[in-house]
Amino acid sequence: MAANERPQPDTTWTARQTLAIYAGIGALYVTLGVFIPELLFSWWEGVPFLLLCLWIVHAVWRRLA
Amino acid sequence: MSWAAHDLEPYAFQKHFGKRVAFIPLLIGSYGPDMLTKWLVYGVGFAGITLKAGDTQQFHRGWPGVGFTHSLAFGLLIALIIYAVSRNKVYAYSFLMGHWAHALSDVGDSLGTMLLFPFSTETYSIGAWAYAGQTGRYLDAAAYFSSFGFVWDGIWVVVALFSWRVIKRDYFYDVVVAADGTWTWLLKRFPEYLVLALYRGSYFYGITRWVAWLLWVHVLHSYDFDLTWGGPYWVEPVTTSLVEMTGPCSCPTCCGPLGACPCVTNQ
Repeated sequence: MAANERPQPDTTWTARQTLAIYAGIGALYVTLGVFIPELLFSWWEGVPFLLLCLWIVHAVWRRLA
Repeated sequence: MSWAAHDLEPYAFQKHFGKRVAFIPLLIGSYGPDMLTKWLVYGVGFAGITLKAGDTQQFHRGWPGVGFTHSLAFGLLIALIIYAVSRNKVYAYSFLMGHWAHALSDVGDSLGTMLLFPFSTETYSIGAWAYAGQTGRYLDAAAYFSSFGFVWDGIWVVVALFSWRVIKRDYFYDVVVAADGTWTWLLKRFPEYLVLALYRGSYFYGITRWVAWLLWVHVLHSYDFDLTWGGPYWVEPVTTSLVEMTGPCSCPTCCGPLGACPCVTNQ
């Protein structure tokens, strides 16, 4: 794959669905973070949280689709 | 110190410089000065053992200490090493840009940074908000998000929101991937949605944790806002003069050259 060649687009989610999923994960992270602030201190907690949630949502979505 | 600013500054630079920067070294540079040092400022525990700098301000920003990580020369040195290893100028100056943004952002607190180390150990500070790392991470967060620091981070949140196009899929391929082959390597090995999330991760993290900290500090707890210069009034700020007064520890039990000595704070 060349530097700016795109892979086949992942059609699991539309752009709006992607935005909604990120917003939902963000709301969950904020809620959890307010009550468990240890989650808020490090990139190593925040970004893996996002990746893990996306992976779970993606897997569930594909199974239900 | 700044909080969300270090997460979000790289996206603003990305928007401005486009293909002329590589995002990964830019982000690493932005986190670089605190990457290996912040753990010991707040303390890190493992298997019942806690490692923590005894004199946090001296350790974090001073000399002796690891304050040199916040100097312009240190950023330049690492950038030169990156260039020597990778022969990639874009990687080198992207790192440098992120690193200098971090070092200069931290000038905003009461302690400041040794910008001109090794030529000078003087710390440069405009004292807009109190450095309170010595109080522990919760009170530090409360102080930061009750002071002008919260405004400073808020500015970066707004800038990031206005830069929203940089997190779009099209922008990612047209600009970010085109400028740095590392993303192509990642895209060959991992699903696209995860690679995109990795790119968007600090944007997500910076904004959500800014919101979460505000809620924790001012809704769950009721710390007073104090947006006066150098605030908040309810925490004792560490200043440059305090670090210079304590200086390197000379007591017989001093732990060594990095200022990580529990007795310094009692001097």
